[in-house]
Amino acid sequence: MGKEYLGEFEELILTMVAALQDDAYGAAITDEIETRLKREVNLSAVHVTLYRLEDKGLIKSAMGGGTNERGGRRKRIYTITSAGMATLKMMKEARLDLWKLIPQLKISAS
Amino acid sequence: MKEEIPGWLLKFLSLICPNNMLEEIEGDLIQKYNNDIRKVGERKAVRKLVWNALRFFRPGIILRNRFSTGLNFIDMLSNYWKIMVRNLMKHKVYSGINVFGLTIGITFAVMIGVFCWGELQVNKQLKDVDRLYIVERDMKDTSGMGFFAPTPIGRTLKEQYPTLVENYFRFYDRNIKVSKEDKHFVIQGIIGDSTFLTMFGLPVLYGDAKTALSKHHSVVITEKMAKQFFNRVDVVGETLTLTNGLREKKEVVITAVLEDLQRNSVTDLVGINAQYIVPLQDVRDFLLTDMQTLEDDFIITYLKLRPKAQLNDVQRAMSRWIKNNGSPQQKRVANLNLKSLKDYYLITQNGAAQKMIFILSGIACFILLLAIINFVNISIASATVRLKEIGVRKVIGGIRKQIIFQFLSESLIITVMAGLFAIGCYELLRPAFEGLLNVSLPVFWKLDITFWKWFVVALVLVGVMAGSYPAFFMSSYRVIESLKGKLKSAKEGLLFSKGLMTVQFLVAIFIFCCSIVITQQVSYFLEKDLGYDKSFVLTVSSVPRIWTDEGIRQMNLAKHEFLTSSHVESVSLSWEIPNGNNGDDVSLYRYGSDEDKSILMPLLKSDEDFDDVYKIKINEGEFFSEQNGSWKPNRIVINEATSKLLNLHVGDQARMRGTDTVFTVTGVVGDFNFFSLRDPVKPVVIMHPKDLHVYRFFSFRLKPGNLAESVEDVEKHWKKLFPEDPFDYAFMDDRLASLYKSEQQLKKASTLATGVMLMIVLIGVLGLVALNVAKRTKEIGVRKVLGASMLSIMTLFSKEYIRMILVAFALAVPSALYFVDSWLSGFAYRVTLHWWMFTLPGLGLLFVALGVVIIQSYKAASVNPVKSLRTE
Repeated sequence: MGKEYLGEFEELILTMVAALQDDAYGAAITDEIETRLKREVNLSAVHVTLYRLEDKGLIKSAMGGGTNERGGRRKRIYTITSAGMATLKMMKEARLDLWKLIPQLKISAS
Repeated sequence: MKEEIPGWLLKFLSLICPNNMLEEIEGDLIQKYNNDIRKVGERKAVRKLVWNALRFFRPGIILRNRFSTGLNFIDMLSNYWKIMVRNLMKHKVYSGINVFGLTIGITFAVMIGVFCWGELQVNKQLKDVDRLYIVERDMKDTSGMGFFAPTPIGRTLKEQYPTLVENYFRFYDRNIKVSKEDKHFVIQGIIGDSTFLTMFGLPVLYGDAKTALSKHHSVVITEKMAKQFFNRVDVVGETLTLTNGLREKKEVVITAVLEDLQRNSVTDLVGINAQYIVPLQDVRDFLLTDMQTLEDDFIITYLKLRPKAQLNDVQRAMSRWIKNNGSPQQKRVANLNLKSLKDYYLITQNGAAQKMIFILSGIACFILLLAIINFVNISIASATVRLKEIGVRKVIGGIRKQIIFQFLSESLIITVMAGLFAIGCYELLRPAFEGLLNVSLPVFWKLDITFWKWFVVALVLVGVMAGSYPAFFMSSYRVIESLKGKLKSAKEGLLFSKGLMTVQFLVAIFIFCCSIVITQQVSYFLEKDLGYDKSFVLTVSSVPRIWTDEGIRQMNLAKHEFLTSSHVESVSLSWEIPNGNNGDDVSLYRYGSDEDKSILMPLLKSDEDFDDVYKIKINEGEFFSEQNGSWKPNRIVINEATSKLLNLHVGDQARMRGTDTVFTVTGVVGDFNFFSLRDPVKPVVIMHPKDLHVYRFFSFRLKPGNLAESVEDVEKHWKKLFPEDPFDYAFMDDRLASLYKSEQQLKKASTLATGVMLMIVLIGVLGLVALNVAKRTKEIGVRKVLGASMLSIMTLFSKEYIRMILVAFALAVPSALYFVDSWLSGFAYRVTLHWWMFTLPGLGLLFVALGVVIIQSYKAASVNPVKSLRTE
């Protein structure tokens, strides 16, 4: 396959970048994970993962605008690349395939 | 929304985050912070912020930093390297001179350094050395100091002043015959308290340090001794047999084995180098006195003070004890002093070790200085080439700092190279050096890390000094001047270089003079008429010590047996031999006069044949003559000095302080130098061993002839008489020579230093002249064309060297004279200074240096001017 293996956290971040589209940057992703998944993540961990994904060519970035809320600092907006999308899709399908292998649960009344 | 993150956090972030990521990270942090303020309140938010920010200190962020330094730093360095290598290769001779000179200099300095380092490490092996003290006494009626303290003082101090004194250790030293089966050796040992191992924290290989000496008939030995007897080290539980003065054999059990001891002032006090210790409670077995007698006497005592104890308090306590509890003998002590073991070795014997270290490190510095001067001189002489390079560098945009860096690193690399060579040379020459100076030097790699640190520091220092001239001086030139490749004024550089050269000559002549005087003094020591004849005298130290009437009788029989040998002229039994070590001092006074008029003098013990063996002149009376069996007790022989001081003559009676015995003078001998020639002849009194029942040495006067054969013959008799005792012998000449060990060392070191210095100086002269000649090839050609003779050209070159050597000579002689004079003032007998001792070095240097100059300039002067004028 030659494809890079993605870790669970990496996959999560990649998905978030794809989902948040134009609003995908460090703090937003962290917030989103915290509110939706009720999961505490550290900002630095998100950043490091983003940089790593960018290195792998799964996402790309560009500087966005700054807001007052950020003390005037600009955001780095990430967008998913087609390679990233492909990887994501492939992983999803692989998982679905595996799901199908699990025998259907039979609920017996007795 | 105005909440900002604290400044120090920003600083921290900018330190760890790569520049291109800093902004978004800061932004995200601030945004999160503001969110948190809304959600959880400010105080918690700040905490979260700090935590979040600190978490950015992780490899995923830090490793994204690009560590870049300047544009072409590496390229520049490689360029420096290339230029250096090219320069070294182009001028092989001069670079060779530089590296060679530095290598010799550093090698010698390293050897001296290692030696001095070893001297400074003495006693460092002892635990808590800064709290250890040796007790020294001042006697009321004697002038000298001694390291003997009243026996009970250590114990009482510990019992009565537990807040001052933590522990004590006392010992006697004894040479005892140790045997195991058929192996017999007379080995130096000590009889001491059981606190030995724990108090000094000596490294125990086998056995228990705490209990090793608490039982009777136990012994603790060193690794070396274990190997000597058993060829292995784990020998705890084995037994050894010690033979005491009554020829009684005592079986002792080895309870612990020590790692070989480094030099220290306990087991190696005054160089005894003891190899084993037996407990003091067995003192009866070896000293033939009991503990009770000892209590009233003196013993070598060490104290370990409590960390906060005051020296004064301890000393006051000791004086109080002497006054109240001391025996009559002990009350004669005027004062007890505590000497710290930390620097005891260095300052003892009037600081002999310290002086040696001082002189040697001075020599090492001088040698290094000479090597550095060579380096600097050659860089001055070849400055033209490098000046052009500097000019070009500056034109291209090099700044001064870079040029300084370049030249310093160049000289540093050469120094480090020389340093590495020097380590190699050190390892190669170590055995020779050890043999020559009679010291042991460790392998370089095994030296302490601190020594290595100093070594590196010294190397850097030498490198910086050597490279400082081109680095700081030449780099200060303006571009145009340096491009022209001329020193600002030819004189400036030359004057500096000449000054340095003169310093070299000065140092070389100075050391040369000193070395000659030291050599003369040492040979004077060995050749001076001592008042007795030391040649053909063989001394044996391993005489079985049976210190009783019976023993004396046995030894007398042995003497007769030895006399049957055709190689032996006469034999004498004595406690002392004239090697400077005597056992006791007594205060002698004329019978009937006041006790206060007594004079303290060494008491020698020898039998009636001592004067025959040593050919001592007898002025009056006889030397204990025992003819017709008319032996009488309590006879003494005195020397001329005593006779004059106390007005004693044959037949007169005298007494010694502390005893009631009346002694009769039977003879007066001429003065002879029993002690080293550092001191004037002392008054001495001699008693017969029969009165005291003690002896240590046999001295044989051998008949002239084949000495090796004679020794063999004596040994044959020895083996027959004393089959169980080893035959440890030495010729009197050698024993005497070892009396002047430190002077001998100094002599050899200074001779060696002189050789090394002359070599470095001459190499320097060689290089400089060669450079000069090469630079002035054209000038020589022009001069020749205009009619200059060979001679005039050669004088042209030699003139300046003659001038420099003369100046150096004029400065060196007074300083050498001053130094030598103060050195000689330490000796009672000194060699008379002659003018040749000072002119010889000057003239010698002059001739050798001129030889080098003339040979070099002859080559240049004899070249056909057509050729030399054509060179470019």
